Amino acid sequence: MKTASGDRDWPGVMPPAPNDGFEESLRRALRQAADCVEANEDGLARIFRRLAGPWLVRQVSLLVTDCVDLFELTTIWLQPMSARTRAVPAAARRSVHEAFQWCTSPAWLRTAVAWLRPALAAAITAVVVMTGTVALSQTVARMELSSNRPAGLFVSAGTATGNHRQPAAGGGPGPAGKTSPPRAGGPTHQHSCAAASCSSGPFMQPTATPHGNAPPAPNPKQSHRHHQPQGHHHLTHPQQRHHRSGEARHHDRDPAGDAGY
Amino acid sequence: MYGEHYGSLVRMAALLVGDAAVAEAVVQDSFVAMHGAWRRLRDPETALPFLYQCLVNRSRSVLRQHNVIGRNTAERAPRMPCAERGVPRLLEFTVVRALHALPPRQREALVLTYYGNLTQAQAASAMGISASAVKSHVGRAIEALRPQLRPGR
Repeated sequence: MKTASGDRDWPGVMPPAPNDGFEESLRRALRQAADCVEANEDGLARIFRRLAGPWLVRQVSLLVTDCVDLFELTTIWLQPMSARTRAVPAAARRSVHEAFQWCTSPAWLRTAVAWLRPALAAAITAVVVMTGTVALSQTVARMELSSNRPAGLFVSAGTATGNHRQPAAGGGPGPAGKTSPPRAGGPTHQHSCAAASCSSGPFMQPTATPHGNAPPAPNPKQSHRHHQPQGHHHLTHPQQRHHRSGEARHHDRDPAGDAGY
Repeated sequence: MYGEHYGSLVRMAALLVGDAAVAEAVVQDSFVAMHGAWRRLRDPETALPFLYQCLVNRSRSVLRQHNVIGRNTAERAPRMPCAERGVPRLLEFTVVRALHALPPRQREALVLTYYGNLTQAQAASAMGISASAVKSHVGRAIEALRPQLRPGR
């Protein structure tokens, strides 16, 4: 702060020249308001009391006063922060208490059932869809697997008496171009193949044809014309026969081919 | 010096801080400070400007402290030392209320020049600003007070 050492006009205080009536009225109003303030008569005694003490005591008292003021101001500044800090654990405790009361009240069950029902429906739907998807994919895989197997062998599953039945569970229906689709409980046919040649498994052994008493190979056209309406699975088409012979050769090389499946 | 200026300084401080008791404490602090700095003054004529400077500075400190307390605490009951002594409160005067609605610098400039009858240079020395700044503050203060202190109101 600047000192007033340069100002030499302090002792002779000159009032500023009034410009208009408002400034005079303002001056009068200020004096009228200030005249109501009466200074205490013990002002000088207080000043002397403060000056009478030792210098160190006075400095210490001033320091203590300043520290008290600083502490008060710091407390006031930190008061909103401390109030916020106290409010957070109180809110947390209140929320935990309310949550506990809500869990222990019977209203919890009603509220839970309210959203549990659609959740259960959605879960069951998801399970059904997933199960169907998995089953369908397995079925398709099995169909593809069976289509890669010898189609002619697929038609066996006959009995010891020579009655050939459709495979119930051993294999799925083959492709329409290779084998006729199996029908559960479909009509059986009798043929003169030996009992040993008809395998009881789902696949026909390739040793069916070398029998001497085997019926002569029918005309493909006749056989096709004769058997197809009944849904039998004799491979009478030349292409199918060729495929069958190839599969037979494969089985000759791999006796345990069925076990491989 | 005490007998000549103590009363006027207390009234001036009361106009600045709005409280007679606080004004007395401010003036007594100023006298104590002047006593401590007496050796540094060298010229006795500078004692009064030094008192004005101390008065303005301590009034600012008190007002700043009260503003901080008022911002961060709830509404407190106003202190009424004048009413306890049977003296009407300062803030009951319209001019004092209008004065405390002004910015601090404008209030100081107006009180020093219009109540203390100081020149603009003296007020500038007491406030630590330039004389032109004092003139500007006084002009703005008068323009702000003019509609509030109109004779018709």
